[in-house]
Amino acid sequence: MNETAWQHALLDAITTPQWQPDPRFPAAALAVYRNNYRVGLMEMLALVYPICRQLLGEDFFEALSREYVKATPSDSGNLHRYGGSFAGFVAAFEHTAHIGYLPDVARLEWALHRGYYAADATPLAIDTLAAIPQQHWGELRFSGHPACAVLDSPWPLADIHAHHQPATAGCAVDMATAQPLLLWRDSDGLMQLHQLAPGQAAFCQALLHGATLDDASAAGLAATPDFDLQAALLLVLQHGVLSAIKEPS
Amino acid sequence: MTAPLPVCAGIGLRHPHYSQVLAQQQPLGWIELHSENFFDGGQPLAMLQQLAACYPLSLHGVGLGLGAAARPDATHLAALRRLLDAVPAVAVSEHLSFNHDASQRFANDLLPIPYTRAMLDLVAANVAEAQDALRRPLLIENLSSYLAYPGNDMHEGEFLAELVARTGCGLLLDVNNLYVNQQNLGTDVDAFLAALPPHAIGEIHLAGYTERTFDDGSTLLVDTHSRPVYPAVWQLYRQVIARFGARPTLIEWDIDIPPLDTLLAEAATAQAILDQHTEAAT
Repeated sequence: MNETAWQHALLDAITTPQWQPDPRFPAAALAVYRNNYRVGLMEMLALVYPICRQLLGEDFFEALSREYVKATPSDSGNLHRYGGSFAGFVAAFEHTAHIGYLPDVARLEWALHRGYYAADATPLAIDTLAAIPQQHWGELRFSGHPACAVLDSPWPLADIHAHHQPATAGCAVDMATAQPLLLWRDSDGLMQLHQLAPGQAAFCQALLHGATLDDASAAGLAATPDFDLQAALLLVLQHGVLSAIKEPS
Repeated sequence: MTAPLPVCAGIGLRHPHYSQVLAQQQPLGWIELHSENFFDGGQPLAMLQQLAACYPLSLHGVGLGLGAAARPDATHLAALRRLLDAVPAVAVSEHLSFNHDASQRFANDLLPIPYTRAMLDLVAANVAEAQDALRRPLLIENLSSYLAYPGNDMHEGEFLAELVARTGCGLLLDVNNLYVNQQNLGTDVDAFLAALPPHAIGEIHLAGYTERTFDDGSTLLVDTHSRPVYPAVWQLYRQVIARFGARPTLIEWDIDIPPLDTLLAEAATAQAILDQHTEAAT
């Protein structure tokens, strides 16, 4: 077996979900590497998804993580990138598919995790926008801050999150309330949640996807006729959602 | 080349001790942190910049997999490059190991590589590619392994020596890894050390292993970084220092991390050995 084939075979033997004795590799050595592989990925999931873990209980979460790792090979040398498809997995997995809010809680935790490590960017200053004649604003497109995300969820994500934080543990959660969220990073580098008013989620989402201000405003209005563009724009600027004005292409 | 690490003992700094080390000026010769924990920005990067302003900093990578038959992951290399642009690191190191294949399949671990001429060509190209991208030489660390490629035509020490000659990289000599390999695989420690070019050794690692017994009754020393440095490893460290001279030495502890004072005491033991050597030499 040449060098490339041997490395390939060793990766196979380590990552394959079912343990099989492999005459090419000593059993004890393979056991160490197989254990390292699984434990490393499962520990990362526990770190990224603490609320899911609390919601499901430690034992169930561990079993769920084990199943996720079986189904989801690592695709990065940076362990912090592992686990991005967990929300989709729990939505489809037969023992969690009935927990309607769980995928959105997982999406929230993934966005908080990625946002915390996301690249730095200078938030767009109000003065920068003010320097542009207002009649041109509608055509402007923006770059989003890498740490920001919008979650347009039908579930009370802000309450569920607060319920699982030490300072607000056990606070009431009304499962019938939708709480669309803006996630942003404060000046200390900590991720913050801001509950969005009707229309604001569609507006922010559109801006983060590179829509013009006019199109984003139309998206907000399509969501609700009461959409207040001025308030939404102020919110976006105050929370540093945008980092720059894109050059017209 | 940037100034090397100070020739004294340092510690691997991990999450539980970040704030304590930042809040009080600690008697640390230098610190080493894992590069991947500071990709790409935010609070982690800001904290690393603060630490780098207080202590000489070594960045230790665990994710490039330069010993893969496949090329290094361009995304990972670019992220490391951005990190090095943002933080003044005195030393940058990686392992002589692999973690991926050409289909972007990864095991987030340090897997052993074949020590052959053909592999040397591939690894030398990978190291050269990484050093070009990062615009600086790397220190490459010998590995703790639990199995070996059956067709090896040289040992790890010879492989590392060739790698230095071909790429100009430096070496990070992990004494615990060497000891673990001696116990697990029967590695000839003297032959390994004799093969290394002394001038290339820019750093030494020390850590504790765990002995694990398996269903078939066999045992392995597993490089867990979860214990104090064992007496046999201290003994080997003394031999290494006597042979190569004093080198920047790091205490690594990654699992069941003890209070900072325990790490500082381990570092003080290493420092005493370095001091003894220096006094004996003068």
